Amino acid sequence: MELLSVIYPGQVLFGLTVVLFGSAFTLSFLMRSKAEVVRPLRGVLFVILFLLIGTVAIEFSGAATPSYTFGQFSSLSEALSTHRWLLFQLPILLTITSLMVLTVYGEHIAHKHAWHYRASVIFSIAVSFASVVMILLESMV
Amino acid sequence: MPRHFKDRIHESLATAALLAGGVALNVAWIDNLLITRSDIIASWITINPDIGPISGLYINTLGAFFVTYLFAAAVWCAKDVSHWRSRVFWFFFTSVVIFILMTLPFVYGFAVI
Repeated sequence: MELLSVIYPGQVLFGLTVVLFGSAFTLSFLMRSKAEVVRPLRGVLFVILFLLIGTVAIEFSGAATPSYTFGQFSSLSEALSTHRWLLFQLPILLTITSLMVLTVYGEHIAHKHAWHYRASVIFSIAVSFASVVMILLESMV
Repeated sequence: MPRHFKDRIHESLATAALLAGGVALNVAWIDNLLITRSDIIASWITINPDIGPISGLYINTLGAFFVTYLFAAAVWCAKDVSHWRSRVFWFFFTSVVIFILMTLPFVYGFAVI
């Protein structure tokens, strides 16, 4: 029971998101050589999207002070609060975009003509992974 | 016939998703810039005072994404969009880079006094 009072649900969801983005990042590189990875990748991205929405819902429902500092802050931590919330939009939007592209193309994404779409999915997952790691590092400041 | 339909790639939907992603990211950084520069816009966009302008910003961004997606999907529906492929990809790529740059606190907070 004491353990449950220490664990914060938002942090648990966000931690899971970071771990799953790591696996999605690895899977995304296999799309060209092994088209079968598209299905599990889509599954992982779906779970990530729900975790991201869950994290936002938990953080916003428990928010006591506005996240926007309007340039008036006393510490670096406060300055980065706005940046963290701005950056949080990136994985949400890019995951939705990747999911839509993967749903449309499926295993055909390994085809030669689809390199634009394959590149955009890999790029989206890489940028999303980098942004969640950045958010993690900023929240430690 | 059903197999033929299943094998068909609806490229217009994928292109519309990339376009929507790019437009939404541009809306997000422009919104953020306007919120920082104008108190009127900041108060107008604040849906929940506990969260601040971020609440309206998220809704605006998601709204821009889905409106653009539905509009582009309707316009490009059942059309050959292969000539848009490269242009939309580079627009999406550039939008992500611009978003990352324009949401850095020292960039959007910059002012010549």
